[in-house]
Amino acid sequence: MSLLTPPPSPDIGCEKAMNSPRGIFQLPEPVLVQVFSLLPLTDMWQVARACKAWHAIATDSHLYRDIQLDGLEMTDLITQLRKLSNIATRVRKIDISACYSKFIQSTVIPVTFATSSPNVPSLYTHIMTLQPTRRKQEYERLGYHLHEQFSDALLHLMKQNQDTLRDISIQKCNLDLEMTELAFGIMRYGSKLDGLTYLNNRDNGFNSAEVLTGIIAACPNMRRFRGYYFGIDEKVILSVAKYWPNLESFSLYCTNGSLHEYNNLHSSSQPPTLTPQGLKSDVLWKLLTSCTSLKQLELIDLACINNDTLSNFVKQMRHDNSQDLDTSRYQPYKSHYRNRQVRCKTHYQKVGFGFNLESLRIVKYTTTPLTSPGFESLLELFPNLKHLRYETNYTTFDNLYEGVTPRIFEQERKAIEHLFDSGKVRYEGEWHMPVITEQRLMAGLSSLSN
Amino acid sequence: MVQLLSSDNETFTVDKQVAERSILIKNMLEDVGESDAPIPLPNVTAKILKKVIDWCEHHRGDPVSQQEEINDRKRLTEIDEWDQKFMEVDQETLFEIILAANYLDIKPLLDIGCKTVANMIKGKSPEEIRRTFNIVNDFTPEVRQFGIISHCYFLAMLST
Repeated sequence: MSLLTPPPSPDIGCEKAMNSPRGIFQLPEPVLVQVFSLLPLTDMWQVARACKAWHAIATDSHLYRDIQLDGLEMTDLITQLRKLSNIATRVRKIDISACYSKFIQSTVIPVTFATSSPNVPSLYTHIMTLQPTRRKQEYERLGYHLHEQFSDALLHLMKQNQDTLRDISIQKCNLDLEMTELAFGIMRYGSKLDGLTYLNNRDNGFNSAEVLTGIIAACPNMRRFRGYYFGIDEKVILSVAKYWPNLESFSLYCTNGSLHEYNNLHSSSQPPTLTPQGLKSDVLWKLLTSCTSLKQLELIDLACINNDTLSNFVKQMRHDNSQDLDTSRYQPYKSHYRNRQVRCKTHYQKVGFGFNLESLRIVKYTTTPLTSPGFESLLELFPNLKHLRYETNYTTFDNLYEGVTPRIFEQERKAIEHLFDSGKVRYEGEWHMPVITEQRLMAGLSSLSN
Repeated sequence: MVQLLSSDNETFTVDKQVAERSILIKNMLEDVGESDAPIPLPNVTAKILKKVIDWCEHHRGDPVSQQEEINDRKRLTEIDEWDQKFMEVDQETLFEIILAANYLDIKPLLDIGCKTVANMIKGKSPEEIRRTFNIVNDFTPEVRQFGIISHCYFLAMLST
């Protein structure tokens, strides 16, 4: 028995209003449903309390297919999730963004020293600067249990919707989430998932390769896997290439610190598994050739994306294609040979590589930047490319090339812009991104060695 | 040119292109073919029909293609300035325009109408909503006391 049985006749409730021909009740139910579907969740609860007829419409599970929770404090977020789990049974998408916890924002912890003397003034530090294990202890000590409540509410909702849930997205949140619980939910109830986004949150995502592999195994239909996960490593990428043939959108984030300075504060205990230099180009090649439906790709600060590798990729692609041309030509005598046909097949699969890629984002901070030849290779590799975004700054060039002046940098920027004059590819070049901590460190080190 | 006949027997002459913003009229024209006879629209009064034609005239150049579904609820309720002015009418007229858009099958106009109503609801308490739309509170006192969600439980308990 579902919790929410449709009330027998919603019309009776509003008889008085219905009797007068005027007013909002002249709108047919589908129109009202459309109106309500435009409202944020909080307003939806208010609408449901207006009258019985509206309650019936506003608590219909059809209205709760795409759930969007925006800018809520953690307590409200939990309340919303709990309310939803009574009603929503056909959720397709859960989208939590820009949610925060007042407690985490405002809690400071006294720092104690082993050799404390009464003369030393006590120091305080923000709770997010502590190591994850220490943070957990502090939450425990201060009696902060919202994380468990949040996990319970979210998992309950996921459980109820495990047959329909397709997409989970958590973005720009400052909740310091317990990732193991979320991973558990995804593995247990997320078998139908085809989208998972975990972006720009103030923590490091799933930070173990095993968890990521578990998710790969649990969600065979994944199409959009976006997020910067510290646990990602070569093995994970190879598993992605092997087990997610339908993948359309993917981001690779490798950096030994982090793009957000904030993260730097508390990531030191668990260095990311993959360093910029760590990813070998053949792993990337494997990913590109296996996931032929890939449409969107983000490559954040990868050393293996450079002019040389890209031109090698082009060579390899030309090589594969020319072999394919050979076999696809009409050759009546050769077709007798069986093994020839088998080879023919394997080559055929390789041909489509990269052709579907439509959107590419490349970020360069601490690794060798791309210049014109690299971009030419990109255009040849991905003939269907529609959108290319390139983020870098002068420091990147300055750190990695000798004798670069702002003038050369500017010339390069213009030359690359010129490459896209035809307008076939929408090119966004952000060449003046702010300098990140990693770069400052690099600059400092190089000046020391000089 | 196409002639449209309102429910109170007023005839409007509009460009075919403008009239075809309404899928209902478009399909009618396709079925009937070229004809000088006015198309009767028994569900729309002259006053509302004039408004709707005004809207279609202003949006005649808009691409008819289906817009991509925008999932962002915030953006969903944004209305462009001209349409906002257009929708600054009393509630009765607003509902009639929505009904007409629904009947004539003009999806973008229906969307704007729904957005306008949604904006009227946003940020209001149940009592304010009732006052705005003249709704009678028909919940029994017990339900009022225990709140809506427990009401759901209550219903579920009864039905099991």
